[in-house]
Amino acid sequence: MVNKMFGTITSSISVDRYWIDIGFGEGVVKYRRFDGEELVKELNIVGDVYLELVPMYPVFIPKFVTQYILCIFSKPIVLTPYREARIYMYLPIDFAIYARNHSMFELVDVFSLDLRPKYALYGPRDQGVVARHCVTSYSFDELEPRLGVAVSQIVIKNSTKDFVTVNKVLLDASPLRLYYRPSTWDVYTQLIVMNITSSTMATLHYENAFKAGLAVLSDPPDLRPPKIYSRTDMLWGY
Amino acid sequence: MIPNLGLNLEMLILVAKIASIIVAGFAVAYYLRRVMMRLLIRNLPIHIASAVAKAVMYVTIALTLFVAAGTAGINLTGIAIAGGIAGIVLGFALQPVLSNLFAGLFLFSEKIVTPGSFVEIDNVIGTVMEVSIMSTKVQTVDGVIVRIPNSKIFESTVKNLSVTPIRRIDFVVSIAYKESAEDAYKVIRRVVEDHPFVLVEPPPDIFVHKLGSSGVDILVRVWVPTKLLYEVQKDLLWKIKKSISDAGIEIPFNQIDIWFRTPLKIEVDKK
Repeated sequence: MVNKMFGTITSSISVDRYWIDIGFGEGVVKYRRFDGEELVKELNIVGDVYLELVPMYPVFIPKFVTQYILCIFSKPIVLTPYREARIYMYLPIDFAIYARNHSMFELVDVFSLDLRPKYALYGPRDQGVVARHCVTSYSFDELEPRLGVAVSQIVIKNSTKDFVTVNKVLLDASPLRLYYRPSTWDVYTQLIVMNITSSTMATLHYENAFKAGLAVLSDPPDLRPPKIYSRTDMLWGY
Repeated sequence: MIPNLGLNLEMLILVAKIASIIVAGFAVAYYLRRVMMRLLIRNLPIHIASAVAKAVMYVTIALTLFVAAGTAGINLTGIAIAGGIAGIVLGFALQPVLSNLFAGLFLFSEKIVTPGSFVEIDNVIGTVMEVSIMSTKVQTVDGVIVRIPNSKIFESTVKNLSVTPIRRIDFVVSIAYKESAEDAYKVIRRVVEDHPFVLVEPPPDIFVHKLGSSGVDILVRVWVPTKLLYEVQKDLLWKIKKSISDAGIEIPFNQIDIWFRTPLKIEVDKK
């Protein structure tokens, strides 16, 4: 039997070109992941655990370098003064396997459908931040979820008295949340409000999920969200 | 009894004066220590700030005792002269120590080097392990711990190699004159674009840099995350070399054409 959805893995599964083979022994879970015919990851987990396939922020492949994701819009958006636009954007995501024991979990594997992950600098060369780079398409109508991407709803508010041209959005994987519908490939982020306050600055407010009936991803330790307030700033243009 | 009382009153006043000087001096010393601690803690590590604040307190206490002794009528001229001479002698003797000490305070306040940063100081390249008041410990890339006196750091050019988020790597790839520079450019461009850690922004720069004596030099400039510099440097040059060779593009070795003024006599061995 082949399971093809997010959630608890009870048998071997295939995700696009990957094949994940699970073997349950006496207190041992044997995990193997194949990329086509090639075995790329193999490990044994000893103890009382179950495995879970979950969506993951696209910051772990090839290795964890940054928690920022720079999404370049395929087409710029021009906003007139004091106007706002609500867009739906595809955000690339990766896939992760969690080994769970009640509320405890361990990230045991991450894999990506993106064959060419790239990084870019956001900001000046002496102070900017390195971010995972992606070119994303967006729509003013709600987008349908697809394998390998999350649907993100962004409200862009122009709080200035001038026209603004928005080319990109810098997301922080720490306050960003991923929500998925178990037993499907549907993944969403929360509502993100991008408030443009000057010709170079914007603030991003990470709000609640904009869809109901979703499970929220348990964040890995490196990307736990702040407890008080979820806000980040884009200081060097948008 | 009355004259004795008068004498005692004078003495009591003197004792009270000395006591008030000492009490006031100690209070000022204690207050100075607290103020110094608050000021220094902003820029210096706690143990250094505490030591400097204590030193200020002890100097104030010493001055207080000096003034109190003077008030008590003790002749301090000899002590002052002896102290002055001792100060000069100690000043000369402790000159290197003091220069390192003040350089250390400067390093702390300016945060020129901080533990964990990757630096180049006076031809020593490595990670700063510890910055103390007198010297700085650097672990070189081959694992050796080097102690550099702070005064030397103060006088040297210090390169902080890890403070910026990105660094640039330059490679020169030479191709033979008979090869197409455009083909080589395409091959190099593909390798650079396929590498995950070569940044999209700032963009890579590839161009013919020099028409050398043995070949055409193509300069490749790429920006990478600082923490992955070494890894990318190794990986990228290897991949460029492999791709150039796989594409059948000749990488020339140094060649020198020698012309002889007089014709050479060449004997051919027919065997």
